[in-house]
Amino acid sequence: MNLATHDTVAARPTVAPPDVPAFLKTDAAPDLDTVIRRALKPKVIAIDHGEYPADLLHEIGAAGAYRHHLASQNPAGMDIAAAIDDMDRISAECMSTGFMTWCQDAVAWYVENSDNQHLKDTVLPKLASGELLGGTALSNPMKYFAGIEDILLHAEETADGFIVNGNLPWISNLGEHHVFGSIFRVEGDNPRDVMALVHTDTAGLSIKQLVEFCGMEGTGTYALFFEDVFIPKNEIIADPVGPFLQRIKAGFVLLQAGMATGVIEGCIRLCEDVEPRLGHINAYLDDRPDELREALEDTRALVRELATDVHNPDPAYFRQVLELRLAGSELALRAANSAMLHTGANGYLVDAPAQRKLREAYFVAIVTPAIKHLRKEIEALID
Amino acid sequence: MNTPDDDIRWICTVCGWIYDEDEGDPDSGIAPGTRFEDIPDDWYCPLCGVTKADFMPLHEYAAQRAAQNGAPRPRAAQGGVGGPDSVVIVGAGIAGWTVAEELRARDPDRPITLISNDEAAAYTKPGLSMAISQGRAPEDLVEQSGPAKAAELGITLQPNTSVLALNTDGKRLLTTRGPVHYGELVLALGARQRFRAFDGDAAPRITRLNHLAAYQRLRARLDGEPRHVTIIGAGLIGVELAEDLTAGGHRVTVLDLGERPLDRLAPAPLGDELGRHLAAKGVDFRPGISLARVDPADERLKVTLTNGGEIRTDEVISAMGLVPNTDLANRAGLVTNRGILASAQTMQTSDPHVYAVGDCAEIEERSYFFIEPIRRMATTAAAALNGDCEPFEHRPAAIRVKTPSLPIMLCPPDRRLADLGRWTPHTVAEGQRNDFVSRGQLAGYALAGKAVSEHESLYRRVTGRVS
Repeated sequence: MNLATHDTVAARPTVAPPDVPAFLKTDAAPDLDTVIRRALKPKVIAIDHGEYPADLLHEIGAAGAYRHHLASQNPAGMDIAAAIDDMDRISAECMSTGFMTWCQDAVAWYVENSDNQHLKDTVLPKLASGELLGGTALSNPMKYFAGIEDILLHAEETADGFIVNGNLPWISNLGEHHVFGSIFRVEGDNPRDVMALVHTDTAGLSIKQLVEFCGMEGTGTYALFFEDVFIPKNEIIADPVGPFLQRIKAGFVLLQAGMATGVIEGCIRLCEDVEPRLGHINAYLDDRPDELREALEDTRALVRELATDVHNPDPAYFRQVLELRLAGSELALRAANSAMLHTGANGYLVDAPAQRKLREAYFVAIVTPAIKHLRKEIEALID
Repeated sequence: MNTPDDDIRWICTVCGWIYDEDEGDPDSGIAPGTRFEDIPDDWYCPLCGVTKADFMPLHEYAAQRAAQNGAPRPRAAQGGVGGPDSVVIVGAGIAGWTVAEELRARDPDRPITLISNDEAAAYTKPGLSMAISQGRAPEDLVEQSGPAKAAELGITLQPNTSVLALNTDGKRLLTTRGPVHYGELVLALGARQRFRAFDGDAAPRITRLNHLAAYQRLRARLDGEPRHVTIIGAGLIGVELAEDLTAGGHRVTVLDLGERPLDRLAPAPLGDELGRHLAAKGVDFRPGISLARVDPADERLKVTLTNGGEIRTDEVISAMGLVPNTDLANRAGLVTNRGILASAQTMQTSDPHVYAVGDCAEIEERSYFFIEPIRRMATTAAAALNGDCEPFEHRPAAIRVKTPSLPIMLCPPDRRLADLGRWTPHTVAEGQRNDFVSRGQLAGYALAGKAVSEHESLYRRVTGRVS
């Protein structure tokens, strides 16, 4: 693997970050809220600017956040709502980390729903525990299946695997010794789309950081270059991928709801925090924190309802999942706008939480499936 | 997650900057996790420069400020639709639009908002199954655009917006464009074709036809050259579509588990005669068979039947019967059965501020999927919303089956009488007439061919018995 990074963030005049005080360090397996307070909150600005928090992601896994939705790995069985709730709590502080939690959840979701016992035995327990980190390269294929883009990876089948070529932009939660789910178009006598688990260390694969984003830089986001990358058949998640996608798509999209509800929660907290001081004048604003919180609680209640039924094959159910995802994006944008207006000039400072939330909310609205993509798919599902 | 009991956040009372102990103030050398009291006294607010003395715990500050100003909110939020004085209607089918019309006719000033998950064009849904033979494009079915109709009625229209959740305690909806508050809510959610999870990789390509938009997509795929269409279900919609598509030059196969078309609605002789007329038009009817799976086959589809047979086809349309849309009501805790339970007096549901009209409503254990009763339900709801009382009255259904090859009028017996009588053929000069007689009284009839002219006199006899 060839891992190239650009000069990430311009040098900023900061004092070296001090150590975490001893009283916050414990030997017991941490619960998620402790990890969030002890390890995540002090890091949110560094993550926003480009620090990939591998240790933190392992800790979040140790706190159990990546296993709730995996029946085979969770003592209580499949609990999609619990996975979303954890992502929500993480995203309320830092949606970069919430997004990486989703990436991890998604790649584990693929393996969990695959028929590949080899991957389930070897890779899945490590993804569920957070020992192995990974991402999901499904943005392009999702847009390809929705008729928005052409597929970018092409493969040639051999006796014992596939040789894959092509480039993918912007795949997140990657680094050395990571894995990701990837779909490629097989050419030849039996053309079809196939999905595999790919290791970033595979020969012929290089990952490069080509661009700088306006935020969420620490999400391990890279462009992928496949040059005759050999994928053995025992790494195949689904062949052909069509029926498999029908099985996983509702869970895949629904899990993202945690990013939206978390950002909305974070924005409401910012509005609430200034309420004592500025409530008398903020009363002139629309989308007040109490109103946003009502809508957020309605959204969370719907998440819990839909989360009990993720294998429902009725397109009317999937349409509701897409509509929920759309509602989450729209509400995140409104909440972030509200956080900016409620916090006023303090929200306009460099690294102020409100403007970080604003950038995060736009991410919720444009990450696949984006608002425009959702509207197209929802329209097509109205029967 | 920070309760008033854990003083981890302190506010600068001068500028409002908040010190969070979890985060510390690394730029000033204060490590994450540093208690506020442990910060050196020479530390100052990084935003405005005042010292520790000007900080206080956030929750104490909040309590102090709350005691000082209990001023009411100066104005309501602007820019949204609905509101606590509004009647909000969800659904822009016949039911939703008719409630809007009837309520506006009774009260020129009542704020009304209509929310629709499509463009909200006003059209008559039964027209979908005879458009081709009438030479009409899908756009020709639209009587008035949603915005034009809304302007004419003086109501607010929110098109292309899905309603996801209903909170009856808070009297609000969650939509894809944010929350909407209501004073009174009318659910006109319609019905959809029953879903079955068929096997096969092309199962997602099965069409269920209920909205104009879905019909437009189907026509876009069919128009231009003759295709083969497979229809699952030989009920009303199945036979009407079969005949209409055939008239458009397409070849049609109809699958049904029954022995003949309209098996569950009409007596056997009428179904048999309709079957012969459809066959003469070229419709391939397969009795006692359904679809087992559907797979892609080159550019077309391969349908595998329950008897093992195979059909190459271009489109599969599922028309297995309508199911009221009750998901939203169920999640909100409204009482539902097959449909959303509504009072015949007012169309109110189990929540007095929520009404249900049209296909989604169920009145005294009956659903009504036809235009005439839907309009009367809308009248009842509009009257109740205006403080008037015009109860909905049950009447036997009179169904004109839109099969030009054989005119049919059906008045099926009420379901409470269905097991208490039988169909009897009645000799007529031309066509056929079947009477459903229960306890010596005419309780229903089924007419075909020229005999449909007897409909009006027979209907009077049936309804006379009911009243």
